[in-house]
Amino acid sequence: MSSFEFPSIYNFPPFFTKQPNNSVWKSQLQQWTTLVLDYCKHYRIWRLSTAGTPIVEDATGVPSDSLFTNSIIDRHLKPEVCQEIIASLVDQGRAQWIDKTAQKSVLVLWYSISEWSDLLLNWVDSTGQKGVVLTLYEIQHGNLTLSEEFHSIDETTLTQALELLEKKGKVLMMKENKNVVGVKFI
Amino acid sequence: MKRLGLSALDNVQNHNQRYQEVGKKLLEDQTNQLQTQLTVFQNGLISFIKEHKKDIEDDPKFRTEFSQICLNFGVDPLAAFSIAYNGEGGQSTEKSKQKVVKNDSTANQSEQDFYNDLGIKIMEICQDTADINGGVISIKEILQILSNKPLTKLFGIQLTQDDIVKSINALTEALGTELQIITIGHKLYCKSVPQELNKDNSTVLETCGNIGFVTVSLLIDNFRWKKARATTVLEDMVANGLLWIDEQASEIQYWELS
Repeated sequence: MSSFEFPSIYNFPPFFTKQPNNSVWKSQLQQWTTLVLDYCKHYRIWRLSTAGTPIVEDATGVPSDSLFTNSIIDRHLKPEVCQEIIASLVDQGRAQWIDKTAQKSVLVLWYSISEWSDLLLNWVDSTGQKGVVLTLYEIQHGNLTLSEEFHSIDETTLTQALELLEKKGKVLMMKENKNVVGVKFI
Repeated sequence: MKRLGLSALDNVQNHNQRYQEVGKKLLEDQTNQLQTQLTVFQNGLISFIKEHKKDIEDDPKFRTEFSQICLNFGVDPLAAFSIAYNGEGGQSTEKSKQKVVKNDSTANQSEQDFYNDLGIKIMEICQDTADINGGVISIKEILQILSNKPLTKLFGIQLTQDDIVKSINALTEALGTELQIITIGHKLYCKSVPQELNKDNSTVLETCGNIGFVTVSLLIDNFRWKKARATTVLEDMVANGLLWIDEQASEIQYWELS
């Protein structure tokens, strides 16, 4: 996987210190949240710790360092600032706490749940798979989705997107002991 | 032919693959077509401006609606106007410069229009970035932001530092000192905040421009400032958003964003 191209401000040392001027900080926070989303999208990181390290099973090609640390200029964000950035993502609906009380890690939504559900619908439409029963595994890891953006999507996120479609009456869910195992687009 | 047994599975796979390819191709075709239509329409809008400039200028209601259409189709009305007026995109400034040499009064007028429009763009940039640079931005940075705007790219307009200075001066003539060109060291800046920069501020910004950042001890050593003076000046500038601080060096560093 090609490495992520950081914006130039990532090499600006003060970017790693919370700025005391409030309006400057707001814009700094904005740049950080955009950066986190772009970064996760690039490396397809679905779960991120508040320290900025990806939580992945298969770590090939994904950097193990925190994105809140820039070793080239020897700067890093303080833990409380990292926490603030992640919390701001949650507020914007661009991330969800995996454990709300612990607040240690989040599901990152570089696309929102409703955007994911649109992507799924489009894919089913354009590949003529209406009425075909698909397993969640097929959608996540099947050969047919290799080039789709939702390939390897986190199961929680996928389930939420499908539940949204279910509410709209676009899919039928097949459940086994309350776990969604398959889905049919109608 | 219907294949049975294990090979039927292959068939399903193949079919799915085909469906996907066909679907992709359809989508691509559609996108391409729409893209062409959009470009045609954008050009249409520009020639429309050429033909009906007077109507657009005279009738405020028409103008508002027309601007709205332009915006909906991703055409910046102001930029479109200057392109339509200065000839088919390209070296619009070059052309208007040549016209001035001929001393043609309408060309003069159009050049004026061009710089006014540009001035408004610059004003927008100053406002957009005031949060992060405290309202002081280098001309170089303005040029860089302008060159990344979609429409400037589309028509390949090459702007120079002189163009920026000219249009800011034109604005200053018309609106008073809302925007000001200031020289710090050897660099030109555009200032969009009312408060004056005093000599100490300029010294700090000039040093930042040379080595990237300043520290309290650097100011004490090089300009023989008292510690209190250096601290106050720097903290003031941080509070106004002119400088960013970096707390992770051996001594607090104050940086200018650029």
